[in-house]
Amino acid sequence: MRLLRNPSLVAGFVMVGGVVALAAMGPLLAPHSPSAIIDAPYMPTGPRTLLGSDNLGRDVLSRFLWGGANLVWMAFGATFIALTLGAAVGISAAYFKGWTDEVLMRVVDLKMAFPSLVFVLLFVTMLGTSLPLLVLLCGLSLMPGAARVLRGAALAVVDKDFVQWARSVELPAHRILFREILPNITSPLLVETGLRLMWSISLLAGLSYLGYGIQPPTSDWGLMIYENRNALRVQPLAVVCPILAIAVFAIGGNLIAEGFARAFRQTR
Amino acid sequence: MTSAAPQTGLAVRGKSVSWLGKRLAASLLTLVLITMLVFAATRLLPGDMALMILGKDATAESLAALRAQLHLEDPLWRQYTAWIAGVATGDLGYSVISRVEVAALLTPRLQATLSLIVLSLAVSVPLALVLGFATARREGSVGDKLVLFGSVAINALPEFVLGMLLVILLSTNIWHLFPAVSSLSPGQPVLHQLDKLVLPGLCLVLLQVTYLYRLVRAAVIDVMTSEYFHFARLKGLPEGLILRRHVLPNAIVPAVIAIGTIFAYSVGGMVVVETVFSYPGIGSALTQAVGTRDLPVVQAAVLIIAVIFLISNLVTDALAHSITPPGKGGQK
Amino acid sequence: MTKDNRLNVTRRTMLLGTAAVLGSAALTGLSTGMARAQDGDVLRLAVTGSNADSLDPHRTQGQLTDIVRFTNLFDGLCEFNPDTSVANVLAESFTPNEDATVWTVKLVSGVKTHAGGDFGADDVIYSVKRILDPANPTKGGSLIGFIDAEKVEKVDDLTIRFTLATPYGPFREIWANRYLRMVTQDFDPAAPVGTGPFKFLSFAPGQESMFERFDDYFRGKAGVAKVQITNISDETASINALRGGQVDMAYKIPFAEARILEAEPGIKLLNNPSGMSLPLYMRTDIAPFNDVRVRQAFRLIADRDMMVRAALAGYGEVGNDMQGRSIAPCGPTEVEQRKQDIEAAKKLLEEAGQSGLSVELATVNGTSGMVECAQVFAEQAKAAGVTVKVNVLEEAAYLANYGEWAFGVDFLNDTYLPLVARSLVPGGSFNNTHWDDAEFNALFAEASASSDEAKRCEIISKMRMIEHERGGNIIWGFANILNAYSDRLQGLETYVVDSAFYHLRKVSFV
Repeated sequence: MRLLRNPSLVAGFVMVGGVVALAAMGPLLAPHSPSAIIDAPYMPTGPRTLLGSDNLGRDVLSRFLWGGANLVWMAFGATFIALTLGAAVGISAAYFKGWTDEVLMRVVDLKMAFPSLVFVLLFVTMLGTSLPLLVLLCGLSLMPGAARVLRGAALAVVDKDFVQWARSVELPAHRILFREILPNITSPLLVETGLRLMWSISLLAGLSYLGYGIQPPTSDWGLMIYENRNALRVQPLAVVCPILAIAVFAIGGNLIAEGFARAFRQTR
Repeated sequence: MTSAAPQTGLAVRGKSVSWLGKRLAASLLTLVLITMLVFAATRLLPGDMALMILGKDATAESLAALRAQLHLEDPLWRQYTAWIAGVATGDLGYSVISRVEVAALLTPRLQATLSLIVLSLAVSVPLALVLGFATARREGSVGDKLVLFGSVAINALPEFVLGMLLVILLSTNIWHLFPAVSSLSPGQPVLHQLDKLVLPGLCLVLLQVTYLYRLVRAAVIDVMTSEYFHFARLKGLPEGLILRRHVLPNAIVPAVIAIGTIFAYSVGGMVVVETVFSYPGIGSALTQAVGTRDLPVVQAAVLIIAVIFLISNLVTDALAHSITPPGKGGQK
Repeated sequence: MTKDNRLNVTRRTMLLGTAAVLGSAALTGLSTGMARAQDGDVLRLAVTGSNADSLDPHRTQGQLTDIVRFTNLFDGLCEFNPDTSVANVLAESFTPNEDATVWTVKLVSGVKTHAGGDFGADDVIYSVKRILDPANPTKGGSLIGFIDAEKVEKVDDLTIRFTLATPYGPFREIWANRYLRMVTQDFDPAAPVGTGPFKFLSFAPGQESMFERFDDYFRGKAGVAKVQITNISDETASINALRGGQVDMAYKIPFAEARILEAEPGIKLLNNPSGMSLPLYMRTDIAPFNDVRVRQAFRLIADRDMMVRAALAGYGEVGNDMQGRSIAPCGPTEVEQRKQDIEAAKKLLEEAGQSGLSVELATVNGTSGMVECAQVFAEQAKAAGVTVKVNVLEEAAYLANYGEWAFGVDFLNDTYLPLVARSLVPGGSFNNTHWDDAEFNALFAEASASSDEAKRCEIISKMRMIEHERGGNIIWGFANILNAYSDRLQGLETYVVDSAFYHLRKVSFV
């Protein structure tokens, strides 16, 4: 397949896939419970702790292996919400034009004028931290950008002959939107998927850093960085491992976006 | 990724005035909606402003007295209209926690944020243009790939990680060049404390350049692979002239839009960077105010951030509109 | 390539411009670095605070920045010595009547205020009435509620007579409390005038304040010319500021990081054996904790050594379910140390019909160790078949239901009797356990009324035994308070109740 010859894309998928595999398989491989206290805080590698112990004397390796599960599915969930909503809003705005376009885009503007972090923070403060809520809020935060881009992409399609034809034979609107327009904007959609995967994991990790994300005692990469950030000198692994995992995931997302964008340019 | 720059609905020339009028009206409407939303949101926050002021020792009577004094028992619509009436006359109210005027509290914060954004853009825009041009003209070379990968990596790191790395590298562990903590001394102009702006500024510059330069690069590559460019070359026009006359203007448009977007976002969106360096910006003032339930400050800060966002969006769109080269019609 | 010249030129100018901006910033960095060495007589502190900062010693939320400011701007009638004993400051003597209901206080003569006037009885009366002002409830007000504000009388310029509503034995000791500082008449928090070793220069809430040495201070000049207090809310940032030489003293050092700092050259750790306990409180008035067997079971679940080792990184001492780490001048209360006993805990729970109990433990990111100890306890509870779900709340949300959580974490640091008044008897604003034990209450009233120290100690010992036997707190340990400072400083001492940060006049540069 042609896409396989696209190095960015292949590298991106390998990186994201690797981190997903790590997150999914990690709990099966972990030698200890992620919450078990088995040593003094911040001890180096010992007989029971391959990577040493963290701020409470828990096994860094086990916490690392457990720490991806939530973050990774949350990043995918947030991306999915952002893109589904973004596509629905963007395509509808482009297709119906006029008032619909105006109203939808004003709503998008409204959401954009509200800083994402503050938006999430307000709702988390209001409703308490729960994982599904975080996913929903991050998804909503990343939606407006996707809506704008996809509206732009759809605008280029709606005036094409086949759409005009579908419209003239009075196909139902949802059919035109999803069967005619959507398949023709898959490239920007794929690019956006990669980008939003990257942003969602950064946003989630940033929330953990500010203390508004996943709460202890859950093991989570973002939280691990936060809990151990001052101990870089004595216990660097507790910080470096989760940073690396998040970075690899995010770089992977970025490379996927890059790869699709290039493929998109070549076919254009 | 690069061609996916935010599209801003540009109207056709000639309709500029009505376009502007419409945009202004829409922005105003957005603003009114935001005031309502933020007001509703603040009133829905759990916890009690009076309790936050008086603390654990508060008695029921003192709490009730304070709630009455703060008009927290009034109907919501009256609280809202009172606030809006104040805002309309330029009165943002009093910070209940700091007991000073909200304007006095937020003005230095806003100045700090704006100075940091402007300074960082002053460095990153020229840098991004240079890098973008240089790498586009050597597309596919080792240098291009290295810069690209570096930018992807930097962009992929969560902001606080980048900030932590800078602190470790340039302040506390490896080299001791710049202050790790950027809390500004009040009463001194920000520009006299430039040393404190270096690390947060550098952090922003890295984030901005890695994003901006790729837009410039893509735009330049776009023009350079266009038929028009080949035609101009065949005609024997000097390359410098082509670059200056055609490539630069085309590369500038997405860059201007991106700069506008960065500016609009950063005002409220660099909370994490502000937190890492303890930089007293408006974003962290807002998050702190949410934590302490200083509702007048929350409301005012969201309002200020939204106004700046809408204005800068408007200016960006107008600017992009007016500098879009003829024939490109703003579509890309 | 001549065609490229124009572009090259612009590129070069851009690069130069960039370099200039960065370079000038770097130069300012270096020049302030040099300036730093010269005005070495400015003591710079990093302290945790908030936008709620004020210069008012009475109407304060009690955040550290406020306390550090007002303890150095204002004096009390007394103050704490490094142990919990009390020294006179503005007061020269305290004389009670027979039944400790009338106290005559004589002031030190010749004390100057920052405004140049003489400090006297009128200022004390003004301050006491201000603290007790019912329209503005203060933290100090709840400590001296036994004073009748209308019956604080001036005998002469240096003598005041307090007539108490109820007898109060440890009258002198209470004045060492930091919330009972003396201001001068017609006090204006915007331009604070006190008698303290430092006087006010500038103040920006939530950011920074500057004080300068008060040359006429009655106990001798402070060791440094100026004090700069910077508000840094993030503990990582304050450690970084200390490492990078931006500040000389940092208040908040999390336990887990202390060992790292201790090993660093140029930085010293101030390890205060404070009386701060981080109790896990259980509401004694509602199920399941109204059953004393459940409370004892929970106390037996705690592996205290491990909690101190993990949650406090070893910087603390094991507790025995009684408040007060050291009760000066009484000495320890002889009760056998309670240890982890999972089997006994299980048995007690079974007897109470609460096997397999599941509870939520409310905690907040307040002081270091609060979130950590909850996590460690939850882990230990698993062994006894008890599910403890740790609920880390945002501060405002925690406060909103303060006093209502069935099971939660708090922190307290005071001498024994004031601490009991606030947290172990009905009406205390920190009485999270809703404990109301008739015998304990009677003993407390007796101890408060007694001005005989030996007798008071005896009663306190009984009170602590009751706490150990049936109280509502799991007092698993006492946390040291850790500060760090540059090794260029001298004169810093460890305190049990106070802090070196409250006694900056003793600090100077080497």
